[in-house]
Amino acid sequence: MKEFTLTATKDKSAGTTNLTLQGKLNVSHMTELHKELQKATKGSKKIKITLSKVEDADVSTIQLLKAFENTCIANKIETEFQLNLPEDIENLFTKAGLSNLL
Amino acid sequence: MSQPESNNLSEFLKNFPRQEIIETLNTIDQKIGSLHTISSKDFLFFNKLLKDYYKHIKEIADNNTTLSTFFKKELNKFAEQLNIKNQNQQKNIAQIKETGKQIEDILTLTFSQIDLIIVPFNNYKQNLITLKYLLANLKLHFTYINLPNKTELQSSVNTLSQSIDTIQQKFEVAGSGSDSLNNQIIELKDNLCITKTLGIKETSEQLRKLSIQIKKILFDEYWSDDFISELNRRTQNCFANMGEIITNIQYHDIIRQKMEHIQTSQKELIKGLSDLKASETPDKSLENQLGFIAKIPEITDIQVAQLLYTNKDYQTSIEKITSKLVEVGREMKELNNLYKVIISNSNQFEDVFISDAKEAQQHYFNFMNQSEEDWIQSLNKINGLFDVYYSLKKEFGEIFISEKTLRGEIKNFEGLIKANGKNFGHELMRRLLLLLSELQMNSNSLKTNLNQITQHFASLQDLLNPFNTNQKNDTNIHDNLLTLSSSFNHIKQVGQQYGSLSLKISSEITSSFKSIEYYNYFKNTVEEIVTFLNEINKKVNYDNLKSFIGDNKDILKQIEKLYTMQSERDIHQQMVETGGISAINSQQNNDDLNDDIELF
Repeated sequence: MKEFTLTATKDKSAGTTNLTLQGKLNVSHMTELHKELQKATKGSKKIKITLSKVEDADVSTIQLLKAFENTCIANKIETEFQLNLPEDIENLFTKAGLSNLL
Repeated sequence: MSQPESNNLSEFLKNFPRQEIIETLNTIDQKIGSLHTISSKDFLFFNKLLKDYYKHIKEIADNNTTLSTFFKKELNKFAEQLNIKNQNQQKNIAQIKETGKQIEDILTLTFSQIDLIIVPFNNYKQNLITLKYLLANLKLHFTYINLPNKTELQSSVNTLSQSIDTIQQKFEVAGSGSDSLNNQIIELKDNLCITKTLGIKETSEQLRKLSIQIKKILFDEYWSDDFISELNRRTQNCFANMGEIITNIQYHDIIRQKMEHIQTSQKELIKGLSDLKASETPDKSLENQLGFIAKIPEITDIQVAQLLYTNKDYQTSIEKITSKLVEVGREMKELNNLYKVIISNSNQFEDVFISDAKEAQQHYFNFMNQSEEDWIQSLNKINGLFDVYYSLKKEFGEIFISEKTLRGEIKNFEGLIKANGKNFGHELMRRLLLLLSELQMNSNSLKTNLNQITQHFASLQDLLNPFNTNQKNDTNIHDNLLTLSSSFNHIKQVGQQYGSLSLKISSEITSSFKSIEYYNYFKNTVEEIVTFLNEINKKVNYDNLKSFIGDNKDILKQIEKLYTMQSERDIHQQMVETGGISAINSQQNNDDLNDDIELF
């Protein structure tokens, strides 16, 4: 069983893809996550990413999401992030200025 | 005197049984002589008894002084010494327990303090992680932002990152050191030997019990307070009785003299009777001789009276001596009983007090030995703990040094940020400095905690080091108990010795009365002499002579001159005046003898 899940739903009429990431979103699963994100973005005009029920996240998560955002900008895909992080991780990211990156 | 009267007198003298009377008087003289012998034997016997008993009673009296000194002074001194040492022992135990309690408290405090480290420790650790994230953020920015001094900034961020890694590594080591210290303290707290020893209550209870027992010595628990005065009273009674015996033994001389006087008058009579010459003497001479014969019954009556009186003196004297000896014997028995009580109480004292004291000492020494052993073990454990703590503190010290380096590096980095020319990173720098101040705050908190722990360890070492073994030895009552035991052995030995001696004297006194021969002999002999003297009276045939004699008192006066004692003169006078022994006061006693003594 995977330690993280990525659920993708598409609104074809609007060209919007909704991605929901759950579980352990840390450096150990970055390669896998990177691949999943690449798959999910094909043919979308707008990608909405929601982080929910996150058990673990680190700076690599932010790096990946930031790189994903930069890629989307380059491909003229609109992005929207909704980060529902646990309080301790939220604090850590806030103190480190990482929350402002996205 | 007419011729017929002269012939009658001459005839009377010729028929007078003077030779028989002389023989009777000689027999009486021998009887009195035998009385002297037996009397001397009895009185010498009493004298010897008296000398021996006086010597023994003197020994007993001296021994009573020794006993009195022991029970009134030495025992109290012993009790005081034991009390002081007992109090010190109790104090030592209380002190050890108090110190142990302090050690326990400080350990608890140390443990809590180490526990408290976890808060700044985790905060510090969190600060380091946040710093690392912030540096990652910076690195991320450097990937898509071009800055003139980007290379220097990247290099500086790498240096900072390495410094934080170094601190984190050291922190990991310190963390495991802190965990190990915590675990060791928990184990120490659970197994600290001191606390186990401190739980022993038996020793203190034994010492408290002993303290009460010691007070009982002082309050005459074991010995009634008047037994010494009772011993002295009994001994003094013996001395008083001996004094009276001495006085009565002295009467022996008076009695002897009285009998000698009787003997002398007897001899005068014999001489007078031997000188009678009936055929060749002129009339005047015959009359004188008849006068002499006529006085013989009167003389013998006086002698009978003197003898009866002397017998009475003797009986009174012997009765006094024997009654006083009986009293001495009784007092001796009482002394023996008192000695028995002393021995029995001393045994009880040894059984109860000395065994209790020994038991309490055993407990005390077990406690002290156990404490000493625990003390050393605990000190070693705490020293081991201190070594672990010291390493931890050293590790923290190194962390703090690295932190100082980090602070310098952040200052350099701040310079580079300010010089980037694009107004980049001010917000991040603000966050960085904020994190740095939080780090410093946690670091100060850690330092404060560590300093307090250091102080606790120093206090622990002060409290535990060293265990004063003198506490154990200075208060040792072993020697006191040995001396006390030895003193009591001596007291018991002396009690046994003088108890036996008292009993022996008492028994000897009882059996000594069987050896007194004179008592019955004197009575019987005096009765025989009186019979002899009565026979002489019959032979003199006083009734026939009455017609021949006139009022010639010269011979009686010559006899009176022989007396040296007032009592003898009184008897003589009464006999002459009343003409019989019935008039003599038969109630004369030793009070009269007292008057005689001055005439020696």
